Amino acid sequence: MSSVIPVVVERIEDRGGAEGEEGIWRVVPQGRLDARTVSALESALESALSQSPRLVVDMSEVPYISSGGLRALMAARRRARAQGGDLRLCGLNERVEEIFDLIGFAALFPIFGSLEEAVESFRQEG
Amino acid sequence: MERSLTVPARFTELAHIAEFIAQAGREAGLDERTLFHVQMAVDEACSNIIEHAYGGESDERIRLSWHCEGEKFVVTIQDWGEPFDPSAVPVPRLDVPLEEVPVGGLGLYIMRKLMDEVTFHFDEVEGNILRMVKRCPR
Repeated sequence: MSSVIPVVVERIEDRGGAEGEEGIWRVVPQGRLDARTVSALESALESALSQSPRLVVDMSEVPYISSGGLRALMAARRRARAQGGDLRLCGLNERVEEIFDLIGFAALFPIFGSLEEAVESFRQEG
Repeated sequence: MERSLTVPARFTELAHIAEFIAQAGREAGLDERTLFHVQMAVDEACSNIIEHAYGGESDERIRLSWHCEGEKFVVTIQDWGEPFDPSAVPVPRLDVPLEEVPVGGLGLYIMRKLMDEVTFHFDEVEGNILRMVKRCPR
């Protein structure tokens, strides 16, 4: 299976908490997340989690997510929490957010309207 | 009127299948929200066929067809892989802490959440036949 969508992984500079901490990382999948492309998301999440357990997955460029994508997010949030951090979502489009609500996934993830709000939620925790 | 599409069981075909369903939805007059639900259910079904019925990508066939019955939009998906028994798939509980949510069964759960009817039938000759119905008042 080939992975063919780009996924940006970057540290959010100047918002990473105290010096020496791992900071907050942003993961931005760019495209449709289905069984063909989900391995790209899994790799990106793994890469980000090796840097820090505090992740924001920016979904603003994801028009569609399948159960495979949902499983990848679920597994990554479990790992982030086990490492003392968390995985938060932002920027879900209307259709994707409705799917989260309909199938009950909205209760399993902290979801924020914007990247700034998601980052702020981490900063407030110190 | 019935339209059909036959593709090999490969993940690269999922985007073609989504486009086939989009075209079907436009011809049947589905609204955007309803179409999105049907596309997602079909995507889950075809992913399951590739992963489970055929045990991975192969050149085996998946056949999709659709038609309307009054206010019902009906999609039928056929494969010739391992017989599928939906009763063997546990229904995942999502009203539990994240750490306790099971990994399997999510695709079938989503199909049932998004469609009004989901029925499976196995035939020695015809293979697995999945029929999914979405009511769409127009």
